[in-house]
Amino acid sequence: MALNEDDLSLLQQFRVPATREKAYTSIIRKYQEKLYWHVRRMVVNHDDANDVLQNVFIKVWKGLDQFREDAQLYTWLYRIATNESLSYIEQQKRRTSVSFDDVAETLGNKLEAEKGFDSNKIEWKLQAAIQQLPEKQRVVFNLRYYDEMPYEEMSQVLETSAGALKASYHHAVKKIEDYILNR
Amino acid sequence: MKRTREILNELKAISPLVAEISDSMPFSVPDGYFDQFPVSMVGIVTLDSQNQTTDEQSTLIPPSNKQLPFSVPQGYFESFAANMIKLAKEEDEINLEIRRISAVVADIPKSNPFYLPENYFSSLALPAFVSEKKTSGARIINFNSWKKLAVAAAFTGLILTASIYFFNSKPSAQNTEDLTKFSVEAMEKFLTSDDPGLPLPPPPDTDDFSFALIDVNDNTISELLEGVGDNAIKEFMKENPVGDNPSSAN
Repeated sequence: MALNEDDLSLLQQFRVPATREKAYTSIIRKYQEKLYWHVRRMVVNHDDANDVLQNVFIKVWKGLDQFREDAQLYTWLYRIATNESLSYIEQQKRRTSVSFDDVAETLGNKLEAEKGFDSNKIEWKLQAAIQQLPEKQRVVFNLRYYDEMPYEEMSQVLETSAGALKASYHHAVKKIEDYILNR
Repeated sequence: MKRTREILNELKAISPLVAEISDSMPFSVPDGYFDQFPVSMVGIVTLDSQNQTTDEQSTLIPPSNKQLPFSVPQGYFESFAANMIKLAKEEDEINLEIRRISAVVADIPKSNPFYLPENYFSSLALPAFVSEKKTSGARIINFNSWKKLAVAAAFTGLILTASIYFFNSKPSAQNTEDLTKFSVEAMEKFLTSDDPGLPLPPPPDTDDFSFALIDVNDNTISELLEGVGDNAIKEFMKENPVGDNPSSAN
């Protein structure tokens, strides 16, 4: 899939030292909200999301010169954001030596600490259900449900086949339904 | 965000319940966060690039020289594997030993069941007398004022006077040494000699030394007995008759 014209133009500007910062700022402005919410849904807390997003864009600054133009820029950005989010969760897990169930519980606690949390509201209940999912299923569900990413593009982000992603999404939705009905 | 028909249909096919839930995000973001973020990111990466350039240009740290300054004991890596195997065997032996004695005890986990307050060791406070290493030295008196100087001078003078008195009151070693040179006979001879230089009284005529040798005449007696009544003199003479006194013979 060829790079869209706008992203191609930004990439060319980035490669010129005089316009490098301007192009970088434009890339951030274009993708920051999408990437922020993708990260935020994974790590829940704003400060954690901010840390992860900064790491994402530092990697972008360092690696954009090597970015190949035969892929979409946003799938590359999503891949970095997904990997950074999962690494961040993994780091927290290692730091506190907690199991998967404990991670879900920790994320659940973070959710309850969020401003305006109301366990009776369905949006919050959905978020609580998402936090119960295994990490990979959570990513798949978020990318499909919120970002409405096609499976082909998702397979580029997660380096998994589209069929496996479809099955993963199916399991995730069923688990969420079960959580909402039984809690 | 409005869902596309494709996503909605797919979701409805899997779970109509989940498809009914609004996909709006309940999370909040600080005001102006997305306006500030690009600016702060440019600041971060620019600083990072400057730091990298500084490191590369540093004359103190050659970029190619990644050699560590640490040293390793000779043969450390050669013997490391053997040492690790030895340690593992030792541990196995300990485990086997306890298993031979009691399988029940061997199966008990070695984890410590005792409760330790959080951050106990990091916040461990030493007793006050250990942590305070202050030595209780003598109090330093400030001699700035003349009064204090005067007190100090008086005290020093007192000590000096007392010292001089103490040393002078003792017989000197020289005198003691001189006295030991005289024999007892020499001392007796010296004491009984007629040396006119000595302030000794003349040798007594009698053995009785109970009376003082006073030159007494009639006038003196009159003066001495002035005011003394005749009766008192008579009574005295009666009590001390003159003939009884051996000295009266002279």
